[in-house]
Amino acid sequence: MRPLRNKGVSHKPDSTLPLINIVLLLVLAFMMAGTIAAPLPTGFDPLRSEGGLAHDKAPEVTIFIIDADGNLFEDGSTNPIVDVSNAFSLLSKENGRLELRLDARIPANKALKILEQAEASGMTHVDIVTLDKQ
Amino acid sequence: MQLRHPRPKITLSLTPLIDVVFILLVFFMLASQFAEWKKISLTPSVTSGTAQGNVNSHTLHLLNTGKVALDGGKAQDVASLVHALASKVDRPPLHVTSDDEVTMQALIDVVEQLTAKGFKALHMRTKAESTTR
Repeated sequence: MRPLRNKGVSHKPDSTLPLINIVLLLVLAFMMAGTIAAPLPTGFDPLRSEGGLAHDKAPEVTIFIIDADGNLFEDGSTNPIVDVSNAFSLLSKENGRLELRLDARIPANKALKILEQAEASGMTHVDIVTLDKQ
Repeated sequence: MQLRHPRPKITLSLTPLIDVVFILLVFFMLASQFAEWKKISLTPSVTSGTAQGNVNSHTLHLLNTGKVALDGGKAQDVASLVHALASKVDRPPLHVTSDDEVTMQALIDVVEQLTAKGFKALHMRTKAESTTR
């Protein structure tokens, strides 16, 4: 008796090329559409607004994050800045731009005092940025 | 005489490539941020504003209760007060102050409502300033 043969069944291995293509496309999509951002402090709830102007982030801009307790962090750092006035003074001497990302729960008076401190240190370019409400 | 050895057939394995591509994909998925930060206009100090000394200017005080008071008057809803102010022909400069517990988000919401109604001269003042001046 002749052994049974699987007629019509291909023994060619499945091509993985379509899978690689799709995954490469996904990688490209994430590379093009997203920006690699430093993590925000734990529990940070960003300020949100409906309006606002999309701004071109200048390359020399310094980003400070202010949490709900009024602590100031440099972007990507988990240690709060102790000497806030000194940090602002150093930035103003470098003629740098400052972008502030505020926690939504920070008391307004506290946040405004920090802004005034920045102004008093000679900072002329201070921007508050928010995320879209949607 | 045969001078050349026949080349062995080389087959490339795609598995390492797939591994690397998957790792790249996971990295970009975790590290990418799609949220766009937008700049808002806020004048924190009254000293840099044009409203200083202007007799037509008003002071809008945000209360802890979520209501607002105009020039020390009675507390009102934000929407109704903004509507009443907007019904005036001119848009007087406004100094915005707040109680200690009022959050920045609440302040921004009020500022946005005022800006939407055409109020451009808005000046934020801290409590210390508002009580001393």
